[in-house]
Amino acid sequence: MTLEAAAPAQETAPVATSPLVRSPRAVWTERIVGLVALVGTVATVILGLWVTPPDQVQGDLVRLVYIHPGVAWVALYVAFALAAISSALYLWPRTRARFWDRLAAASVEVGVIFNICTLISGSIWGKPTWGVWWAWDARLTATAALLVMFLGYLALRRVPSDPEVRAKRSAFVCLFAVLDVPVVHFSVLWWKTLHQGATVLNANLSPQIHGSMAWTLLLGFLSLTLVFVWMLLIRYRIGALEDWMGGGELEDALAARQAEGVRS
Amino acid sequence: MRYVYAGYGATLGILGLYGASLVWRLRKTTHAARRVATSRGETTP
Repeated sequence: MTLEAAAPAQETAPVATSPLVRSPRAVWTERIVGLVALVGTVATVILGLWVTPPDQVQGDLVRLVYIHPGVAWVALYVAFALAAISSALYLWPRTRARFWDRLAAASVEVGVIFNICTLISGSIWGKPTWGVWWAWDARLTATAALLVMFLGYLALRRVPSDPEVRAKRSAFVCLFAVLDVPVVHFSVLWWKTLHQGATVLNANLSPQIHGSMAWTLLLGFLSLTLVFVWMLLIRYRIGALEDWMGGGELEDALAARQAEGVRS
Repeated sequence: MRYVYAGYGATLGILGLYGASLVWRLRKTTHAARRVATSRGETTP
């Protein structure tokens, strides 16, 4: 084959499966989500720090409530829940696809960051309120255990292995780790804990917060959820590109090895 | 208020740093993927 004949074939090489190719809608969705998340977070900070009134009991410390439950909500009920659903869908033979494995991995990584934020912001609230940075309280301990288990999940994903084997065992670990989420949620009911009970998602589903404080709390929840969505979109793309390059390199290596076999 | 500022600073600082690291990782991975695509003879956007 001449070079002239090979050139058009290269130009029309299939690129539809490449994650480098993105629709304009996907690009704009990512940008808009990021922008709205940023604006919402800035508004939450302004309202939380300078607009809302101090609490009668907690004073100014109540201002930490506008972000601490928000990051906890994202970590436990959004990120780890999404990772568990994705893992289950990967393990279910009818829905098995690499998409679910990548989504679970991305969701856990971002969720771990939010889990760390939960523990740190809670600890900073705990020092002036309880007098200690940390207590082996049921909710705190269960949340720390959750972090350790999902760090283990991320470590397991870094162990070199066949992608399918890695995806399966990661999915099992995720489904095991997520069992701790209801323990964290109900720990304030099951045991006598230092940690206060649920303010919004309580047993009666009657929020114990009102007015501008409630709206700021809600805005914090929404903004931090959008921050998570934006981070998830970016993290998923990184995983998709890495998988695409890894798979391609393996195919190239196999093709080169086969070519060597033909020559010899 | 210093605990409040510390809480906001730590939380938003961690999220900001992680967000920035994601953008940096995405740029790095995209450049690497473009090189791989070029080596495979594929057109890249």
